[in-house]
Amino acid sequence: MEKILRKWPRYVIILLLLALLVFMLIPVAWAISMAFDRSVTTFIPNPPRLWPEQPSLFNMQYASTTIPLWRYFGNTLFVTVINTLLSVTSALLCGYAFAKGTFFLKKFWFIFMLTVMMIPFESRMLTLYLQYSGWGMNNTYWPLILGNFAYVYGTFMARNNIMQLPDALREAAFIDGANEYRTFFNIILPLCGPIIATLSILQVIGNWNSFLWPLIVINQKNKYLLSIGVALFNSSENAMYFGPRMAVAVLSSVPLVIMFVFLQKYIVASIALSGIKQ
Amino acid sequence: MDSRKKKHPILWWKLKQEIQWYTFILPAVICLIVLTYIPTIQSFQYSFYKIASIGLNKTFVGLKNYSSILRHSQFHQAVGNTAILALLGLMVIPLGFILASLVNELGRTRTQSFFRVMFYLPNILTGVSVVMLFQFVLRQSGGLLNSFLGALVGHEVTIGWLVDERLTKISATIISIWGGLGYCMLINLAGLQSIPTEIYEAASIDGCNGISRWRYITIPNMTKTFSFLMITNIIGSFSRFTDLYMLGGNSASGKPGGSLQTIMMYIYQYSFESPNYGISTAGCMVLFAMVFLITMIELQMTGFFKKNEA
Amino acid sequence: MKKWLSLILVGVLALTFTSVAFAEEEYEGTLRMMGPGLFADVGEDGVTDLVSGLEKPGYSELIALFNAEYPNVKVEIEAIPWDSWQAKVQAAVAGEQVDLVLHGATTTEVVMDLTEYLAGDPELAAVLTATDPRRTDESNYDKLAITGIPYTVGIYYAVLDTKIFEHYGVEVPTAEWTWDDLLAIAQQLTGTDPVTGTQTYGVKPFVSNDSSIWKSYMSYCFAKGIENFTMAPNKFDVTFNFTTEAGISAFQFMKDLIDCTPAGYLEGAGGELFGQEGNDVAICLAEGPEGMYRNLVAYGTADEYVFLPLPVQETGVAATSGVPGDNNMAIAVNAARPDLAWLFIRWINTSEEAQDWILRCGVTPCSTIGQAKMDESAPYREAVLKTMEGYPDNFYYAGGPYWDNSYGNSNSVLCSNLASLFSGSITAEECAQNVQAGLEEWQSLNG
Repeated sequence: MEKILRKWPRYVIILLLLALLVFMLIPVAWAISMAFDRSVTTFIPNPPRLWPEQPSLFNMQYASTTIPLWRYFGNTLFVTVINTLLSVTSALLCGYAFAKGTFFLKKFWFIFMLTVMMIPFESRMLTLYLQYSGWGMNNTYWPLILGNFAYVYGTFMARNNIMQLPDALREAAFIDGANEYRTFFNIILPLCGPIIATLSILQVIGNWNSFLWPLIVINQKNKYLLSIGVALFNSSENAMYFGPRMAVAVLSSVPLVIMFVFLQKYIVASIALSGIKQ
Repeated sequence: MDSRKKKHPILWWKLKQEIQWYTFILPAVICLIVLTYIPTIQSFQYSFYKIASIGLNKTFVGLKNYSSILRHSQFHQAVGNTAILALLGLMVIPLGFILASLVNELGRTRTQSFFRVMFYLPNILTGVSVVMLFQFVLRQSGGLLNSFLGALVGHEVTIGWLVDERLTKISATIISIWGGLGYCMLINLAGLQSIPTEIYEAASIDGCNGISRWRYITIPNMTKTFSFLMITNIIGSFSRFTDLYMLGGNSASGKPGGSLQTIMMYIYQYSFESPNYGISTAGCMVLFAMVFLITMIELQMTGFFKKNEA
Repeated sequence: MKKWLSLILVGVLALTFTSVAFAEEEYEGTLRMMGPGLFADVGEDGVTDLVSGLEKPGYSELIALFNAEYPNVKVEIEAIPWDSWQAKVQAAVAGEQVDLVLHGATTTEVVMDLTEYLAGDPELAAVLTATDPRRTDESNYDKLAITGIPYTVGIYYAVLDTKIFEHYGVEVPTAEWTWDDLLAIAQQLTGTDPVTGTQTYGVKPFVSNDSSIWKSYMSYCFAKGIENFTMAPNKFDVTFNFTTEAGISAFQFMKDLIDCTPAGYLEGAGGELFGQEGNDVAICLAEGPEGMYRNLVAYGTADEYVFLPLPVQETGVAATSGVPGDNNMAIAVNAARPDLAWLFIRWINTSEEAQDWILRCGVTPCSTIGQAKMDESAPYREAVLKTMEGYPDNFYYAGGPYWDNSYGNSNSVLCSNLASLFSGSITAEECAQNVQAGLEEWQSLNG
């Protein structure tokens, strides 16, 4: 492959890649153009246009009045932030304990956590729902939040990461009379910047997109998360108009794209990192 | 107390240590026991009962639920669908590899950075929005893809990508490849860039060039990356739900014709749409067994069971 | 002294007993309701319909009206959306959290049999135009139990665009039309409009999603008296007749009907301009005419459309083959206050104010009290009255013998196969065989 490619001048490769990129991103451009197009109501323009015929914000307004879009944003933001904080903290704590700690049954607990990764969420989804229901936590955000006190995948990544930190750091802290907590917060944590970033990003993307579990747990319209609100809007009776449906799809992606634009270097680097570490 | 401390200072200190470490992992452990193990065990329990309604009416039927499931043609179809979708989804790996090779040729420049970021963009868009978007792209009349094909062949094309049950898996694969290509490319790229250039130099000195270089050096060094991607993809395909649910019209029946119903959706259907909890929990256990098996295979392959890892 | 004391004691006791006897007329306690349906649609404070501008009242108004008559009954409502509602309702009942189950008639395992209640309440029985009977006992399958009492009905109806009829010179049918008439008209009206030159389509049947696509099929079987199920005392002895000539003809009829439908029907497209300029569909079949009428009025085209009940039922079981969908109420098996739940059920169907509230929500009430108050000028009034008056007692359209959706995921099997039939990937015979096989498999796996 390399020999063939080496024969091609660099600009050919760039052109090829650009063409591919444009081809892949055309649906996105189409969606944006329809979202801002007033005339896309009961039918989709055929042949498709990449530029709106009647640019206007009507679709966005229609969407925000039909469903409480901003409320959904707020809900999703709330749940995402709390979940990310909880799970990353848990991952770091457990990762540190498994990396550097020595305690009774350490291996057992480690295998314990490992087996959890193998139980697919779907296997316990129903009984978990019934359990929460029995506690009266139906239709609240508790079922979405409580599960994040343990973040097994993150624990393993943190463990791998922390294992590589030299033991000398800990010993020095000990000599200075620090206990484990102090050591953790003052010495280890500041060195974990990259892993914190990686886990946070994974958690934010995962939580923003989470669909199935919130679908089951939440009953009330104004408590929905963004992904559910969008999906239900897509198939509801009021969704005759295509413009607003596209507008909703576009709007719900905007926060993540903004985050992506600002943090792209970190995101791309951390994805690559998570791949190599396997 | 003090006298005891004085007598066994080391023991006391060790105990304190133990407690300290346990506080690190205690919340997680409790969470896992209460919210993961217990529901799973309950699921296991329920699978042996015929449950008319939760908590009100259950009769022990032993292995009947399992035999019903394993004989149910719809379940067979679900297993088949899951397998086919998983295999089709693996196509993203070679595509990602080709793309990564192209991008790698650019060297570590800003252009490469640009392409890395832009190809990853589809992965960032919220899953639900992507499915909605593709519901329009793949529409039979007026969809983007059909218009594009129509422009290519010269007359109108009305292929029912989402309504013809023979084509829906391909459509679902298109959606998953579109979304996953960026991630796959990044992982492949990281893998390619981690092959030390010295190997290539040494090989070219020995006269190994072109295709054979590719065959004997690049690919073998990428096996770890490929296997990682393969396993992640396969395990991920077991929990694939959102896009198939929405394509089926916000229902888990895998419309049209049950062609998109995976095991996961089968379980959902019998848990929440036409409730029959005995069957659905039996399905959960079957799913668990499958995932367990595959994860075991993965761990074996990546050498987790070697002594120096634990 | 002792004598006086005992006299006073007796007096006090007597007073307490008499006051208790009178106080029993006063209902008090807490009534908890949960479930999907109309209450979830209008919400607590009401909604405004976007197309017609109708302001629908919220359920808090309804509760206020109820409390005006029964001030000591505290009502708690949890209105949930349609998603996975059955599981949520079942979980709630299992947790003993609900007395009155909204739309509980189908969740037969968790609700009471209301036959006794209804027998003991002739006032309510007199005003109801329909009840919700279900077959709840698998070993006593020909017995029907009333599991719910409807409070609104949404009949299956047809609405016709007379403009298209005029252009083609076809006569608009009357309420006495048959399904064969419908098919013939649809075939005549599919083609190029002689006046405008655009493509028109004869009919758009019920919406193609899983909850409605089977309704055309079921209505046709009902109309022709095609008994796909031969009932038996035991559910597992019931035999299926889908693969008989009559059964296959029903599927074939559906296929012929779809040939007169706009492309994209299976994706939920086609007929988006119904009621507006440029409409290309002549006949539309749907459920609940009130909303459609309001939209037509909002578009200003109400004069050009005619509302008809579904074609006649030909074996004399009912007046039309249209059946009423409904919103209903049921009582949980472990309800803490079933008396309060029945009180509410009776109140909503007999109280004038409650019936007014239902009418203001833009739907048709189930009780004759409310139906009499329907807008005189509403063109669908005739259709509603004809359907409800001719509707047989103790009949559930999806409880056999025409169609029965209680065989596990039988509905899903039927809808899938109908969709495949419509998209052309299977023939009517194969469709019938698949449905038959699916139901027989359920029987063998669960029997």
